[in-house]
Amino acid sequence: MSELTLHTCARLEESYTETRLSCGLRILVCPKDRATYHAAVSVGYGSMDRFARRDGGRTLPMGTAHFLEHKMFERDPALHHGSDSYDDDFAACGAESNAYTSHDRTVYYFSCTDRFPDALTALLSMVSELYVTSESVTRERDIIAEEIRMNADDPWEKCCAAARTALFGRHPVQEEICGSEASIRRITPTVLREAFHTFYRPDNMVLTVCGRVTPEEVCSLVQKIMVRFPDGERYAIPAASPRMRVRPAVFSSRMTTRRPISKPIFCIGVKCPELPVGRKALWRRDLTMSALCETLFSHAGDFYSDLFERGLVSPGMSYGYLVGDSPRLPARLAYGYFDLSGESDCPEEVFGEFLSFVERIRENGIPEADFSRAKRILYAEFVAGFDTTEDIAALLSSYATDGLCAYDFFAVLDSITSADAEELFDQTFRDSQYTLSVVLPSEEDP
Amino acid sequence: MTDTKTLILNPAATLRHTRDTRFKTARLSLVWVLPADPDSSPLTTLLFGILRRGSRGYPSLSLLNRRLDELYGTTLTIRNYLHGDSHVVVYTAEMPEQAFLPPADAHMDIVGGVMELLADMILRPLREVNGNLRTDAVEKEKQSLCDSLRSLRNDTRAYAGNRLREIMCEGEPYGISIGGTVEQVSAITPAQVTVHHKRLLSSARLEVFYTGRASEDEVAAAFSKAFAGWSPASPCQVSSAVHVPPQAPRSDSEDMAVSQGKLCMAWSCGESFHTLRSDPDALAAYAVCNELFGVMQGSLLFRFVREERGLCYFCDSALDMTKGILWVSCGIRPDKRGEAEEAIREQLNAMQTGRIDPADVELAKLSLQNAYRQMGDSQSSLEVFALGRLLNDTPDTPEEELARILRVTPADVARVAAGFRPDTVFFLNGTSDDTFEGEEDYDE
Repeated sequence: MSELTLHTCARLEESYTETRLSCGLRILVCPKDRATYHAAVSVGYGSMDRFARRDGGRTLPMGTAHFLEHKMFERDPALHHGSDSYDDDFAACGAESNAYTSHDRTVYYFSCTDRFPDALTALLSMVSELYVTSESVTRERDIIAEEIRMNADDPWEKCCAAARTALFGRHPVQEEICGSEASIRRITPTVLREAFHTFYRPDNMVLTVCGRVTPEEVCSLVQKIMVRFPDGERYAIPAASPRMRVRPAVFSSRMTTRRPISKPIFCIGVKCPELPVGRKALWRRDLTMSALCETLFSHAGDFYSDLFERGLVSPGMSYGYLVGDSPRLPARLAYGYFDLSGESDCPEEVFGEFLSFVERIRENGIPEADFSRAKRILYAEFVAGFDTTEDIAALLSSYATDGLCAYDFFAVLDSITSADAEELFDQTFRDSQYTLSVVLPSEEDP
Repeated sequence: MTDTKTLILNPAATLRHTRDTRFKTARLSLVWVLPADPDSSPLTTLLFGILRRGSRGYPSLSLLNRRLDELYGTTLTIRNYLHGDSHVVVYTAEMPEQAFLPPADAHMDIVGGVMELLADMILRPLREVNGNLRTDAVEKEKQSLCDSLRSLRNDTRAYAGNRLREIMCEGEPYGISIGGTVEQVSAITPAQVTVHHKRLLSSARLEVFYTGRASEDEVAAAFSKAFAGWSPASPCQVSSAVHVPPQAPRSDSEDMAVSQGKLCMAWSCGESFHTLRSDPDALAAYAVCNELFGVMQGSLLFRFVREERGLCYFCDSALDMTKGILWVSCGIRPDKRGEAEEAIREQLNAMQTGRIDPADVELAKLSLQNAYRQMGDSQSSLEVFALGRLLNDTPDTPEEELARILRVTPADVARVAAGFRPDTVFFLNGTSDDTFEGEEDYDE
């Protein structure tokens, strides 16, 4: 085990400790005097990790990371007194557990108020071994197919997914994390085992714990658990296909679909043309873009207020910015995009207003007062992330998985100036970078 | 658990103050409690939307939002919902604690500023010269509310659940559409909504909840200053009646061009918080019954409907003891409706006939114990519990409720489960098979 490194943040009166075990597992512990313990394991494997199969066959099917997430809860009943699921162990502790898969990681977590060591044992055991059978994969396929259908019926998700497709074309960031009904039919126990042996390794995981525990207690417990899972078969992470790439321009400037909705939904997508290399630089870019978007498109800003007062958009128009890469993918696959979505009877008119607004900003510059206000919002949002053990663990884990320390947030935010935002605005908000995705009511609907 | 103090602010308003220094943000909620009513509830829904558009001090949505941003990114959420036969509107402001602001802003009185903003929005809306609420704001909000009523179908799960409630509780206050119908809203005039605003301010009951570092005196003083002059003489009292089961179970369905069907089922038990006031142990047994049936990790519905039969991605239950209703909701392939209904009924039937594994009951109790203990770590959970206590007129603290839950036996669960009678089923039938089948390959 490496030395315990203490990170502190005087402004927040917060601290956490970081270490790495000899097996490669990174551990973050944030002691907190609360009844609730929260622990999460973040595995560096997400939906974007679409590598070629070891036998040279087709790439791992779309949705493999998510499918594997579902199956990791299962175990061999012959070895666990007839219990076929780690859910049983969590339930015995009264713990709530769950998991999710994103573009670049899979996260397993639990919250409990009692028997923390037992719940942590279940969590670490669960991500250290895989047990799948053909029958259970077939059954899980039906469950995931329903999850896919549920998502497919969400018109907002449909609209934003179409915008991502228009922006990125042949890039896995535009793919459904759950996959499609066709792709999950290709997922077999063999595929799942290959993915498991490639990515589920201690040196590709981060454990984060927040609650009434010390770092020493957690590390000692983890070492005792991990010794039961000696290094198994490990496959090297293969190279990404050169056919996956981010091209500078968008693939399509318009996408239109129809759903049984009452009012059109739109999503304006803006593709970021170039991204800096390295996590810290990406973080700074992420925060600069967040501040820029908050300045221009928040509900306190002129753009939204004008459209809202004129009745051009319904209340609740939202916007977001996502920047990312994967340490397992080459830098050319880093991606960043901004999207602005809402309901409007006239999506093309909203898009026209968006273009005019951007031109006015280009001519007049970014209002300094609005930029300061935006930074204040980002500050407040970050501070609010330290209220519960669950939020703290999720926040620390998210940064640590990217090799960053969350507390550096204040320094990075302080360093961002309106000149940085102006420069980023000029690079990003260009005609070649836009797309408009619209979901229209089905023709038979009112 | 944290200690909460109660202060009477005026004849209609009460402050529940919890001093808690563990959080980085403070939480302030103003809760308006009104009777649910098919005529007045749409007016209330419309009114609170109009008030959010601007006030005398902040005459536009943009200026209101800018003020919130100045108050260090204070977020304001307005929730409008039915709690049994009550119509509840909650304004919740979450604001960073002064102690965590940058030194240059550490003097900022955020609680006072937020209270002043809320009072301005609620008491001093923009008006025409004739005293009516501004016509343009009323007309725009009417359009917005009509849009949102039409958009309810976009979220198929919520839509199906709403339809079930409306069919099941038709004729009861709980069966209304809180926003009314498009026709109803379209017919509302500025004069009507102005009269409604005046009536609401003179008769509504207001509950104020605060959790954070400010003292009760500071919060009470901020309220008294901001809401000076507002003191209704006779705040209304609200209560909920238990749902009366139908003579025979009902069933209804509707087609929609979506790929997944939504099956919503409801049972009624003829009991409620009100009828069980003298039998709180029975309430605890109902809670364990619901937890085991469809809430906890590895609930009966999860294990036997989802995992064993692979029928759905989600299938869970919810218990509403304000009305005495047990709900189940799941998303399925339309052709699996019969099989899913049968599988769900089978699990309830097992509990009703006493086929309950005692170990499962212990797990359900553990799960509830975890939830109750976690409550003290969440400002919003504590507030939800305290508000529920007020609305349901239940006296127990979380610790007392938990103690009762831990005494529940499998026989208690079987006894309360046996009281559930099939009431209503609603099925949203998906008629489209339009799911994405494609896949991108990146083969060499």
